[in-house]
Amino acid sequence: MALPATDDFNRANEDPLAGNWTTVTGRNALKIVSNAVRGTVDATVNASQWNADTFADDQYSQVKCVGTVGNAKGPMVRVAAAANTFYTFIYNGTNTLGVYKCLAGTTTQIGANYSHTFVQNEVLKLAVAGQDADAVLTPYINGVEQATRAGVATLNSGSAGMRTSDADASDLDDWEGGNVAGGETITPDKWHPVIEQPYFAKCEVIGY
Amino acid sequence: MKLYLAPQLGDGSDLNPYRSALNDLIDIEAGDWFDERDNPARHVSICNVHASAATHNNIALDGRAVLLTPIDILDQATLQTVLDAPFSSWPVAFRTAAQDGLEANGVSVAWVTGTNNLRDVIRYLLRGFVFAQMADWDGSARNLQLIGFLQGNLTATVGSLTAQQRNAAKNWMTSKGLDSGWITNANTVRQVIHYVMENLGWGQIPFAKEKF
Repeated sequence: MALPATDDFNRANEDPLAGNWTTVTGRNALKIVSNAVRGTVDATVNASQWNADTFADDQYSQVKCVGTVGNAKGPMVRVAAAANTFYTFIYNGTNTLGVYKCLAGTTTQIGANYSHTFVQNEVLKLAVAGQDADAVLTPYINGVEQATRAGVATLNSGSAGMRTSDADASDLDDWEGGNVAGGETITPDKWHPVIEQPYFAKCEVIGY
Repeated sequence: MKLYLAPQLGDGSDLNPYRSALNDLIDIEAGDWFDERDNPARHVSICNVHASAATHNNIALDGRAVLLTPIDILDQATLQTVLDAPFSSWPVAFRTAAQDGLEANGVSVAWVTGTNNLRDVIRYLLRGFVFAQMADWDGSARNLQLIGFLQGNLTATVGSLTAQQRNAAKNWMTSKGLDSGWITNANTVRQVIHYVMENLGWGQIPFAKEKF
């Protein structure tokens, strides 16, 4: 298949999410219910990575967030093929998001939270470019670039994926993953204030 | 903007991930933010905190973070001036607090003289943190014995560490093309780390829009 890869999940229910998807090592599986994605074990990290393409080291992942606020849902990049290792950008509170690294199952937040009010169907995206200490993580909310975060040494490759902690209701839809375009520049320490949006989502924070 | 060395909270689990203590002290709704580079062996991080004077005061009152810049920096040119001024040009109280705080968190400053500048100090710190990150994940696994070595007190002798930790450090140095033959049980953790800091080809490490 060719990148960017996409999946709208508009097909028969699937448990676990399979085919072009592989459950991330050490995490629980995702599944398709009613043309959208949710976890298989509530209040845990359910995560899958795209397996049908080989991603460049400079890559991105984006996913539409449905369901309720929180649930530690969002995109993942540089997901290791055989380890519980990746970067991710997720809701970590009622009105906050964060960028994290997970190395062999140990999770560490990178930098400050982002202030943001969840809106149904908004798209979270995480892009990574550069190697070792030069790696830069750039999160986006609905296409709006947020302040970048410094990557860590030696987490240099992997594939794109997605995750959620909610198994009770659909949480993710319309995923896309691809390579960071050659002409796209990711600038360290770039700061764009988050544009606040109306809050109407149910508050439910599970995980992080 | 001010630079701090701050502890991380949490235990690394999904429900309680490691995160900078500064997250509890800044006001993100007011526009405060920071980026960071962490030392996973000691669970501290260097943070470039863009925040109001009130937030910086809160951080000072909290007392857990070590202030690494002597003034509030409003632009990149000022940051460069601060980084490149001789360390000895800053007030003694600031220098003493910074040096004591760095040593307490495993960052050796024994090599610092009056002619060194803050850029030198932060370069050394960043190299040490990247060293710990390389131990934390080598591309396929965590090197827990090397992390154990890096957690050692700077004044501890190599002989006081476990054989596994000693061997992990020596093997890692060898894998990077560094000579470890000079290390005896009487050498200190500080000496071994300093050798790695000075002799590995680190390149320049970016932080706060600067290269160190």
